[in-house]
Amino acid sequence: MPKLLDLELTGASLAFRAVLGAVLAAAAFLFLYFVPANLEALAARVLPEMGGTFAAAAPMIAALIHPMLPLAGLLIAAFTFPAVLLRGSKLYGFFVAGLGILFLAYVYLAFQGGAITIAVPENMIPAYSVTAALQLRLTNLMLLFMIPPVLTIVKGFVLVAGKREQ
Amino acid sequence: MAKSKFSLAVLSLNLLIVATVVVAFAAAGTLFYTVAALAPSIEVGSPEISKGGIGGGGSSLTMTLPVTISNPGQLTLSDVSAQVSVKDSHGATLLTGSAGPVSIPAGARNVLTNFTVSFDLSGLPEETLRRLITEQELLSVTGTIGASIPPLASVMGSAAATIPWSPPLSNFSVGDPQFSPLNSSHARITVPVSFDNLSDLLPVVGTAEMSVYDPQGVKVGGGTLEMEAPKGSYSSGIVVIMALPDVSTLLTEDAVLEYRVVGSFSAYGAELFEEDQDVSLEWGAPVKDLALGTPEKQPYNSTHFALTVPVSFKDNSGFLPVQGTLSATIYDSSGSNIGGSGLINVGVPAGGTFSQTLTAYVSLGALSETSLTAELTFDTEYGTAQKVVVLNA
Repeated sequence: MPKLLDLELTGASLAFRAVLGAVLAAAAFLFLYFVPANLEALAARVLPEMGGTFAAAAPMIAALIHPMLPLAGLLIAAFTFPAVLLRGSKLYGFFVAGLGILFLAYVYLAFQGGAITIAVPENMIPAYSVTAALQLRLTNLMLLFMIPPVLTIVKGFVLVAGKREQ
Repeated sequence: MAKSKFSLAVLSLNLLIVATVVVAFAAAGTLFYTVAALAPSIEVGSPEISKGGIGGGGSSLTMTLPVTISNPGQLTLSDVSAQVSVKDSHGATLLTGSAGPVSIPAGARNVLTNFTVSFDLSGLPEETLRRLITEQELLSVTGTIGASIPPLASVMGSAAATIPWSPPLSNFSVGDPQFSPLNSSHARITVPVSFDNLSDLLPVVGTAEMSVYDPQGVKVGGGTLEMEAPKGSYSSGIVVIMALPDVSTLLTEDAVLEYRVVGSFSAYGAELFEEDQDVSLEWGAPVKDLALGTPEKQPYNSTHFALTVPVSFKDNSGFLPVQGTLSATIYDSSGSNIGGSGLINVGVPAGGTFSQTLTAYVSLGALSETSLTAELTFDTEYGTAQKVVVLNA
């Protein structure tokens, strides 16, 4: 029976964890890293086909993505695989708390601290020289999305504490 | 025991995490649905433009843009507002507009709010107004819009743009006054006025006034031109009817009459241009060069002989025909009246010449006189011209 830290797993269980961890990590990589990191390029490919204002709006998409957001997504993907693999081990609580912190940072970066400023491209109104900006204030929604990561951090510390009690 | 305590805590945290994730995504979904359903419900009606005016005529413009918004979503839309202002290149505020704030409860349909923009030229300082009306420049437009969907989101948009301003009164020019006589007492002066209205928005509604003064500063005439010019080129003339000097004082001599023309142009409640120029009017005498030719003596009867003298003059006025009667009185060297002529009817068209022979009947006692004096009297409708000529026999 393979042993992983303080865990004794059957081969099937280990394989299942590895596969599940890889799938979840891949999903995290795809949605939390790859899409944000390439959103502008994706928008530039899709929006022009919609024509008109949408075509000119493609560069605005870049403003929605904080430069650090893909990095946070990449770290979440990296943490996901060991967190799944080591579920129930003495390090599991740390990985859960770490994932909670990373998700907390991810939410904060995704909402850009609660205020997202988007500069409207000048070519959206071609006849005149126009500079325009939109500021979205989503602080309360961001705080709402921060509650699950905070609870995840608490859960991680509870798991660490529970392991130490044993 | 301890293990079950931690397991219970972890289970509780898991449930809380799931619940808060559900709540967060539900809130985000509701917000997204509200915004997504809101956008297509916004309908902008046709703008209503009402024009005011200078003292009732053309200097103000109010545009009302009706906007109806429905909120089929689950969250109230509040503090919906918009502001716009336009400043000229020197920072003077030309235009302000605003709408709201209004609140649109969840489920409300067709809530009407008006976006009103006021543009009142008469409220501007005169210097700013003059610059705006006559000069091309770039105007700065700033606008803000705001709305919130409490407690989750608010949005604030701002925009700044520069737009070219086309003046309603470009290339304003006042031409040289053109004189045209009307009659013996009055003349007409036409002062050409032209400009280009380059503005799509503002018609030019204005008044041009001209006054004419003689060298003594006495006003001898005036005229007014009411102008209403939409976009395009405008060209017209201010017609001034002015009194001429007494023709009897100018009956026989050409002259140059000096006048001062003072004008002003007002529009949008302000005086925009002033004109002050000296002009001169060439005056041609209606009875110019009144002259007698060489006299000839001929027997007439037992007491008088006939003295025939060619008489001529030119009507130099160009516009005043001369009609009247011409007569002569003959004096001898001692100044005694020794004869005279009858009345000759004279009719000369404007610009024409008169040439006729005048016959006077002189007492035979003066036959030996070597020189006689003829006093010509020409009575016209404009006055009487007299000329004394020595006739050498």
